[in-house]
Amino acid sequence: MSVFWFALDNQMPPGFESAYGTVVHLDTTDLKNHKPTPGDFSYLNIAGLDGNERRKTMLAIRRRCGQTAWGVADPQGDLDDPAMVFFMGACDYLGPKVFTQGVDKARTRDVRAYALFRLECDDTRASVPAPSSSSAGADAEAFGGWKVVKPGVIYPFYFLFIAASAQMNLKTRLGESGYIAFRDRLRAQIQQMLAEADPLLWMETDTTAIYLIPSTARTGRNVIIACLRLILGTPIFGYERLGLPFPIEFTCAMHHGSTEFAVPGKTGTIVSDAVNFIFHLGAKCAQPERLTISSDVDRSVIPPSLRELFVDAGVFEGRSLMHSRRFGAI
Amino acid sequence: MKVKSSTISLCRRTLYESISADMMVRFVRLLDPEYDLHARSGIPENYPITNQMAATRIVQDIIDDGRFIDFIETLVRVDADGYMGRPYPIKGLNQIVKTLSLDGFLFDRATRQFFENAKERVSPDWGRLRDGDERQAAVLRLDIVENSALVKRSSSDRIERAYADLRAIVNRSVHARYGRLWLWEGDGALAAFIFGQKERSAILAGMEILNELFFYNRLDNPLDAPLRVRIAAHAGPIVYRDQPMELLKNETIREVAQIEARSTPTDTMSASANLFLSIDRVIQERFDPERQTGGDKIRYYSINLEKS
Repeated sequence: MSVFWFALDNQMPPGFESAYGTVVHLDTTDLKNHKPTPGDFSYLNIAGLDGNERRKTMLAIRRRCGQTAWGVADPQGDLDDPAMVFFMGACDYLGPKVFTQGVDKARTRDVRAYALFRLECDDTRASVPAPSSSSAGADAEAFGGWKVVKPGVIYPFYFLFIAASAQMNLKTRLGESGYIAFRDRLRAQIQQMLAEADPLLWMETDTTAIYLIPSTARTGRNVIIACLRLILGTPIFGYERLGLPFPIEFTCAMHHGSTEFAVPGKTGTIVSDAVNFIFHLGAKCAQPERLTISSDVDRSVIPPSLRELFVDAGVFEGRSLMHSRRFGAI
Repeated sequence: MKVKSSTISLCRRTLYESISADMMVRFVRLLDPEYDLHARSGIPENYPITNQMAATRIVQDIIDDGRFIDFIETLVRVDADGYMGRPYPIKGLNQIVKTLSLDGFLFDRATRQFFENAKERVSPDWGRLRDGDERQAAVLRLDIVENSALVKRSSSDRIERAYADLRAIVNRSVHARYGRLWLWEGDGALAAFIFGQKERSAILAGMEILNELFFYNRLDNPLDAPLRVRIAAHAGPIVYRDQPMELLKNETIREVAQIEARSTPTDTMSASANLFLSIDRVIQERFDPERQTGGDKIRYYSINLEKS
């Protein structure tokens, strides 16, 4: 285990080094290249940073250390609301009093226990701890492709539920063979529309599909744009690309959470709160011609210029929701 | 249109091995009712013409007349449906279709028409129209609203970027439906659809342009103001001209410009009544009820966002 101390100067609470053992001193600019391993503890000292720099470095430590324990040192009490650092996923806050009174081994033990508890509670239960849900949208790291995602390991993902429906049962209307052809075309077209979000068709039932989307800010943003494009373009999509002579509607729902990964077709044993929730959200709550987003999806992944398209949609199973306004309503 | 000598030989052989000289002439007359084989070949009418000679003359004539693709389409229809109740299987026709595919034409089995492969070449005449040809067409007129004000307000590089993006959006929407962009002026564009389901293509292209602009203005627009357009779609006869400015003299094109200018609100596509009747109900339902505006019967499509 290593302890990293990111600061503009080397000011630390009395007893900190003796309580933690060896501490690696680094400049705040080194955060961008920081790659902690499981068990490491990283601290950011915000003394000397102005408001904008403080916000940026705190987002950076959350992004870089989201899968490990991290804390914030605030010797001058610059933060108006220290609880915010815990909401961001931090495991410790060293305030002005700690800097005067010092740190002992008992506190260190408590911090370690809390960090362990926090990461275990983070819905991950993995050998490699995942970032907390609040850090989902800010994870801007590049996705290495689905080949590097290992079955049996827990990862954070965006979950996308998509269902196609029409005024009457699609299978009845199209017939068995027509319906199979329709499903094949639909699958190919949706995959193409979501291409910039690196989707993986993970689970599929007769009328619905769950896609896994890598948990990065880029893919989160792209999947929202793709869903809105799909909803706006549904008449053209259904008529021209799917060849349907009757109107069709799409229901889209998006959630963020962690789950054990399994390859498509072998997902029968998956037990996950996030997977249950996305199914419930899509099947019971989400409305046709809307994209419904749970509060676990970081709002920052919604492009600012598209936020006006979303409105509050109440609470479902303990999570607040928002959904897109419908297109075409007069 | 330039036809390779190997394709010419193949077509000749296909004709004389499959049908008689008399039937060849009948099929050519489906395109050119005045066609006279004896007159074109210079052989007196009391002299018989062999199948080989007829095939050679006819293939040469249809190439000279710029009707080669139309003739092959006619043969495809005859081969599939027969002629006047009798089947006329034409051996080797598939080989000609394949050869034309290698020459940059795509064959659409649904409409039994050849289309220029837009990935290889996009020419305003689809690689097959001649100056003076008259066809039924659907046309799309797009106008950038307050173009002059936008140009004055924005820096030149930004305005160039935005207009290049708009042009790319229009090109994508039009070319994907076998349409061609005939004119791109400073403040607008004119696109035409002649082959395939032309009315449907014009309407869908217009809808797609508006949908794309909805996102473009929110996500990628480099200007301080949104790019706003008016689009009008109309259908009627068009005489094709190689000179773009000559095309504007067509009555149908003048009419579409009038519909756009006097009957189309901003951020809206208007579709004239004669075009609209050809559209399937699933798309018709996305348009407002018909209105009588400025002497035109018009239906409108626009993106109306649900009130929050």
